[in-house]
Amino acid sequence: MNIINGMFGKKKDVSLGLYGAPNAGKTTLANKICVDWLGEPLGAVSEVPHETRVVQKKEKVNMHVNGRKLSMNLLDMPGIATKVDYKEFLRYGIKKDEARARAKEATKGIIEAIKWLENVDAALVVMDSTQDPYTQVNITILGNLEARNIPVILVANKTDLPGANVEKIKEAFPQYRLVALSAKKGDNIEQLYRIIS
Amino acid sequence: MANIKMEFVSSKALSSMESSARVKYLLSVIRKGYIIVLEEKLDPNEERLLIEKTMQIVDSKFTGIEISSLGMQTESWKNAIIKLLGGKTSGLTVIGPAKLIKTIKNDQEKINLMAGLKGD
Repeated sequence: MNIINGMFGKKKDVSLGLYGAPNAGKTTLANKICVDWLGEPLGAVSEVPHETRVVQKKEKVNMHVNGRKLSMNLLDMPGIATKVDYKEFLRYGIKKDEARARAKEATKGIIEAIKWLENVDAALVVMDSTQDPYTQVNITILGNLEARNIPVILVANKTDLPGANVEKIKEAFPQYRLVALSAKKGDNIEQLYRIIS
Repeated sequence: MANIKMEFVSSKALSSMESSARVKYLLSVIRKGYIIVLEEKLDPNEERLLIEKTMQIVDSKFTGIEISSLGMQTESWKNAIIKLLGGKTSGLTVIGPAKLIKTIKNDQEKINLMAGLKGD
């Protein structure tokens, strides 16, 4: 990654994918970026896992940081998981038929997110700082991005929550550049913008 | 108490298979209710393919997989050369049906797994 020219090098029109497990805070972060630079959010946020079940795209997110302009297509990916059980949705008061449909959509969303791994110029891999980061989903996402030489920034999200442990993410993946932030509160978001641009 | 079925697979057993065939084999065994311990780490492309193929067959009975691995991530072409030369790629992978594996935890040096039939 060329640090002098941000994560995209000299490119000025690029696609940035937000990857991670369900409920890591990808859509909250995508919304924060879109509100800051476009004045409008990207998608709905929910405590129910797999709320984002299709790739959500916002084109021409124009970022101006440190005298550099960058035009991005922001891609908020469905959370990647190795299992989807419709019964999990029942716990949130969702009815059985709707839960089954939601589970089916979630599996399709995961496949779509996986296919997009080949088509992004750079990626933010979002992790929930209160959870164990060394999961197969995170390992698989990072391994595939690395195999394609796609620049990556790790986002240690939810630093506003008690139990957030950014050090654990650093220890698990020491080879990556990391930004610790709270997408919900906006804490330290400027550092992310500086690194991206 | 329900029995837990496990299959220990040497890297040699899958060495002649291409990625898609390896993933197909692994999924066929997992769907029979086995927890597989594989004597190697899957490469990133195989892990991706495994998740993709798993999602294609998820339904109310088969809810997916739990997977964890040890060892360095090795690129596909490096794995291919090592296998071509008759060598073994290092690592370990544990995969099983999500309905059977209650917890799986990886601290990068060992994997802890708790299995048992989950209540409906």
